[in-house]
Amino acid sequence: MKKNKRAEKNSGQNRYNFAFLDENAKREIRRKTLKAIAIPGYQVPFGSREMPIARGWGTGGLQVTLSVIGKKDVLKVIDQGSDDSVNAVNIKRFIKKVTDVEITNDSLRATLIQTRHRIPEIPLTQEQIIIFQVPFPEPLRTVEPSEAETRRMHAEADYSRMWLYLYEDIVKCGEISIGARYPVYVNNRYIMDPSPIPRWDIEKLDNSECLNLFCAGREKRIYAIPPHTSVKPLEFEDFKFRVENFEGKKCEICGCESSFLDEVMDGSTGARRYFCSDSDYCEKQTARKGNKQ
Amino acid sequence: MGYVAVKGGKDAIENAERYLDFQRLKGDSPDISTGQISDQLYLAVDRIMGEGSLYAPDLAALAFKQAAGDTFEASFILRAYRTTKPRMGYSMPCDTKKMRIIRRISSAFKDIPGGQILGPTPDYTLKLLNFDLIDMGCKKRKAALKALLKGVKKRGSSGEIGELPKVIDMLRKEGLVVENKKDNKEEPFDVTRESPVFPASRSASLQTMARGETGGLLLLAYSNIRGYGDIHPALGELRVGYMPVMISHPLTGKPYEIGRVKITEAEIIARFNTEGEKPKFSIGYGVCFGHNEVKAISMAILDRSMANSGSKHASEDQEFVLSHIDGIESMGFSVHWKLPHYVTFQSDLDRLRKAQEVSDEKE
Amino acid sequence: MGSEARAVMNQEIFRKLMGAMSRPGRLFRLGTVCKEPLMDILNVLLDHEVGFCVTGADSDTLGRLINAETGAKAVDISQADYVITPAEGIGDELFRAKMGSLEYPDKGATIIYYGAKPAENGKFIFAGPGVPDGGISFDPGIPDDEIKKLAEINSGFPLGVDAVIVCEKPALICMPRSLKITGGK
Repeated sequence: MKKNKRAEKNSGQNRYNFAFLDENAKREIRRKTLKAIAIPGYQVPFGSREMPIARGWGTGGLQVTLSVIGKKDVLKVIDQGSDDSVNAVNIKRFIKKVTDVEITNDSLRATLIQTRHRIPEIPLTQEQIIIFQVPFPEPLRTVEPSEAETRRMHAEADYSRMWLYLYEDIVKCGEISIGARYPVYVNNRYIMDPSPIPRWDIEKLDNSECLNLFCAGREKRIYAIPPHTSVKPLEFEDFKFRVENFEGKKCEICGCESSFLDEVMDGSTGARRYFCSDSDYCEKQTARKGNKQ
Repeated sequence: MGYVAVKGGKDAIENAERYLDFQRLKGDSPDISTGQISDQLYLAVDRIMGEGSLYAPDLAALAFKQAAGDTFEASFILRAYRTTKPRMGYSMPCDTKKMRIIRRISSAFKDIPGGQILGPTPDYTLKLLNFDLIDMGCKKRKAALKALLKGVKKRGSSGEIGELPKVIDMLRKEGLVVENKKDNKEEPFDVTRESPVFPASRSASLQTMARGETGGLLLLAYSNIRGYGDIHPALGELRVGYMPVMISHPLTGKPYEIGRVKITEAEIIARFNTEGEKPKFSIGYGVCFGHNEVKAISMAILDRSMANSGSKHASEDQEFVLSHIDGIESMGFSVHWKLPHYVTFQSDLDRLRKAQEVSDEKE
Repeated sequence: MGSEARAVMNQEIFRKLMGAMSRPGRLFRLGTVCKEPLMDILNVLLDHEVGFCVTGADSDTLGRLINAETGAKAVDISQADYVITPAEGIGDELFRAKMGSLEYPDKGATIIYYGAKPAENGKFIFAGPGVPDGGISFDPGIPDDEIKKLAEINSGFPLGVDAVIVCEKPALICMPRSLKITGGK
């Protein structure tokens, strides 16, 4: 009986701190985040903590969000551009539980945006911080499996193998065949993995107004792109970087022709249909249209 | 329409959670108490404490119950709880000579000072289903215990034996053992506070393994001794027992016992050749929370195999071993492919179509 | 102060610090968020995991206070993660501070200047990440000579040190190592 009572007390939800992490954990993540900002694009190792969601499901982004968040923040969480996808909802549910901050879908109202795989279509402002969930922080992992070796390559800015890889890709495919996770040069010094955002979103990182924070929980790395920092996709003179092509396609809901689209197969007809990937953007466009009519 | 299914995530998650709880609650069987789990399913509890890297039998039992018996999930729940706790300080180094032993064997020597002590082991138990255990009930259980203890003389608390010398020390005295390189740092590396860098210090390496998933460690250790590697180990000593944990008293500075943890410790011996020097033995070391011999032995083999220079095989490559044995990490990432990836897939699709166009143009 | 109040204050100050580090040259006022700017900022960053070094006249007293408040260890400047100095600067000792390695440049120290009095206009032009195109001019409130030394140390980017300047007013300015500094006599 005594044992059970003890276990019960230990498991009480009120035993968790504001923003879940203890102050020492926050301190470490904060120290490392400042270093990441001071060395744009460089991956700072940190003592990643276990989160109550699984590794690979956004624990990095979550740890940064929790070390940064305060009671006055307004939080938006997206997954694949959507506020309502299960993983985004799950992360919001957790953060709400441990911070009680206001949650929003509105990309403009949010002070913090945690994201997986997208950047909102509406340009972010200097009042906002966007936090990316990162599965593979190391852009050179494609060409080199060893961490000790990729660290040397970054140290010496020895990126010849990456360039060779892109060149061989062109020889093989006639095009650079990298889809999402397109490597970028940050501040003309480090090659960086921008997380699996589509190529469409890469230019939003260049000279942005907002602060961009990246964190890989499983691989234990934090990195950052401060505002007003040069971010360029890797490309050759004769083989330019190209974003996804949606020519002649538009969103079936809001009619937008200038946003990143999700392609959906219609189960009954087999036809392809297109919808805005950014759900908040789509809703805003639809509302605006409604007002006009 | 496919697109709409993405919405309504909140309801879907809540319903999924209810369904999950239903799976555990349905059926007419009496509820299991966490006390029953820590008493009767203690090896699962030990494993969870090791992999969850928190010595808390009550909480580990609770996690096991909550996870409906999934040790990965239970260790994960325990670790997520551990994260929220501040570290108050360091214990003093534990000298395992001081362990209160319940089991201790050496396969390297027939007779060892203090003797071979089999202790509680299923090693020589025939693997036959014991049908008497079905619905034993409290009464029968007490009777069985009474019958078991009939004629047994009590010797201290639960049959522990005090300090015994280490087998390895006998070899050390003879100068047969190469000592492992000591880390020069005063305080050990803490893998829960710093991200391990490679090559990792030995303290970081041992810690990572002590938190590792038993099956993951076993797989790599087995690959080595089967032939993808060249360790031919002898088990110098395996001991299981209770280790007093001491801290230096914050006011007086005197050693002060704050409790005991059940641990398993394994030391394996393998030959070590250095050019131009006499061949010697070297030791691989494994230790983990609870009674988990598979883990301690696997860890000791890997500790030794990673010391081999010029790694040819997976189990000899420190970065490879340490990056892949954590159950919580490897599980999380291996199943994260369940999450939607349609933006990245769209991006890949775009590239594939373009590549096909290019290839059509060529033809 | 209770631990919860401290946690709230730490978070608010950290956001100012993060803002200042990502927008060098911009003054971030601390007016409402803290009472003792230096100690409150140190409380955000320091704990028993890091080493610090205090220079200047009151270094012993201040060092003991910091150790008692944060649990961080006092170490030689060559080992310190955080170097705490009055706004007059450290002079040539600055060259002994950790600059990190090419593999791990993040090991470079953070220099915290306190009691700075920034003036309206500065002599130096600052450019780089966090600064809009064309660069900006500002006075961080530490001696010109010290700024030149920081520029020299940080010329081997990514090696270098990052400066946090705590102003008397209570406010913050940061000079991350990525900053390019030109001008000055």
